[in-house]
Amino acid sequence: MYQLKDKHIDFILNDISARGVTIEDLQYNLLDHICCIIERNLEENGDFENFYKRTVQSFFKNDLKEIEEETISLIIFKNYYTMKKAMIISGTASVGLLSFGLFFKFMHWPGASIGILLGITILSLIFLPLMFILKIKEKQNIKDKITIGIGAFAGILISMGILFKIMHWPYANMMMNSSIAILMLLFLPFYFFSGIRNPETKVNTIVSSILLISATGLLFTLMRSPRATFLIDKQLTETYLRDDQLLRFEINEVKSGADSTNSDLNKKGREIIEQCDLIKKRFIEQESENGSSDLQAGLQNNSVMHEHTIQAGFRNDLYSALSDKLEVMAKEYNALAVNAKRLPITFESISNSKEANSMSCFVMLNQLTLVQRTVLQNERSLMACK
Amino acid sequence: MYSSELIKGTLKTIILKLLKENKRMYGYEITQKVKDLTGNKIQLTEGALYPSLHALEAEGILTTETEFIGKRVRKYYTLSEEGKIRSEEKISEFADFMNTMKALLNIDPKTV
Repeated sequence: MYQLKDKHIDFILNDISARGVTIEDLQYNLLDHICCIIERNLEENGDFENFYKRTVQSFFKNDLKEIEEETISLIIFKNYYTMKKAMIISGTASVGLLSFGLFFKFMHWPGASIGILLGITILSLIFLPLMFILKIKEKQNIKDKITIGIGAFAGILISMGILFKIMHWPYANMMMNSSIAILMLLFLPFYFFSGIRNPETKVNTIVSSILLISATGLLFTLMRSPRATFLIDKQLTETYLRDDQLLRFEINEVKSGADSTNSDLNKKGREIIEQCDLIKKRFIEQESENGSSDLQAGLQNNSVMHEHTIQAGFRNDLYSALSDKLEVMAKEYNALAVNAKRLPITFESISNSKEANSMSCFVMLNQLTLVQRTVLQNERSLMACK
Repeated sequence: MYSSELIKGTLKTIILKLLKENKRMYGYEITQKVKDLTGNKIQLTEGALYPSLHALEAEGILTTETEFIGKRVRKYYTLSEEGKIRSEEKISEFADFMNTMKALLNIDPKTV
């Protein structure tokens, strides 16, 4: 029986690791195994190095690393079933949550957005990645793996894009457009040309490609064209502008006609009109394409405001502060207005109200105009009383 | 010696059965035991044994203890509670499989 010394042990361990076995547990297992073989089979004065070499070579076909690779693949294979289960559970959960969320949404019940949010998140961040990993394992061909990878990436991007869109988070359109571009220009060619060459998958490939193109086509059918969007935005911008011009005229008229109506109500009213103007100006600056508050000049260059909800564009604290200030002013004004038996002003505060989050920016601007009109109306009626 | 494909399919069953009867074994011991029990007809290769042991451990079927033998570490494998159940299942599944194969391949037990 050969007596192994510490230097032998170190030598073997170093060699195992140099041969590419990196899992510590496996290194120790192999070390012990080799030591056992040497101790039992090598004579006391035998040639250690030679015997070791022969022993370790009997462990593999090409190199020792195979054992580690096999270990890793077996461990992953074990996870295969867990992952498959997780995939099915997450898929069912996401579909269920999404369906409930949508039902709640149409019934206008609370909790709808949580269901939709969770449903899409689970779909895109758990279900689709798991499906991708499992599918990739099943395929041997590197081309198939690339195709699946591109498809999964595009799928995740589409669903996340839709989620971003409904949550009014930025980059939603960019995500959706690029995912469709990836799907059509990268995935489809890859998928089509690799599938059509194989007689077994030929028909399936053609049918799936047609389905994919028609589904994308249907999606685009539902979408408004950029030109139509521009025309709608232009109409809304023009309408708002005309309304605002009329308001300027009214303000000037009341100002020039004002003689002795320097009551507290009117003073407060003037402040409110100015505050509304300030908010509108800042808001238009942010929302218009060229960053200018001059809508008239913008319209001549085809630069319009876009109709979307203000949550997306109105996140800035500055505007919330302006809106908060207006709310305080409105309270003071309303107290005076009620005393004077005049119309109180009402509006949805941008910073506080949940309603404001789903308000179109044109509706918001029109609200402010309405506040200004109310103030003017009160001032005019006070003048008339005099 | 049997083909490696035959052994691959039964390796886990062999490991579980041996551990069920011997409580605690290390890798080399398992290979020797199999060799002895089968009269050298089945020789487990290191390349098949260790990946399976690690996979079974990762699945929670086997638990391990380590012992220092001088400078080196020896890993002993034991069946976990789940492993004991799985071991029974695997063996009865294999017995059933053998009967099916006998019927399928029309093997007369007396001539074997």
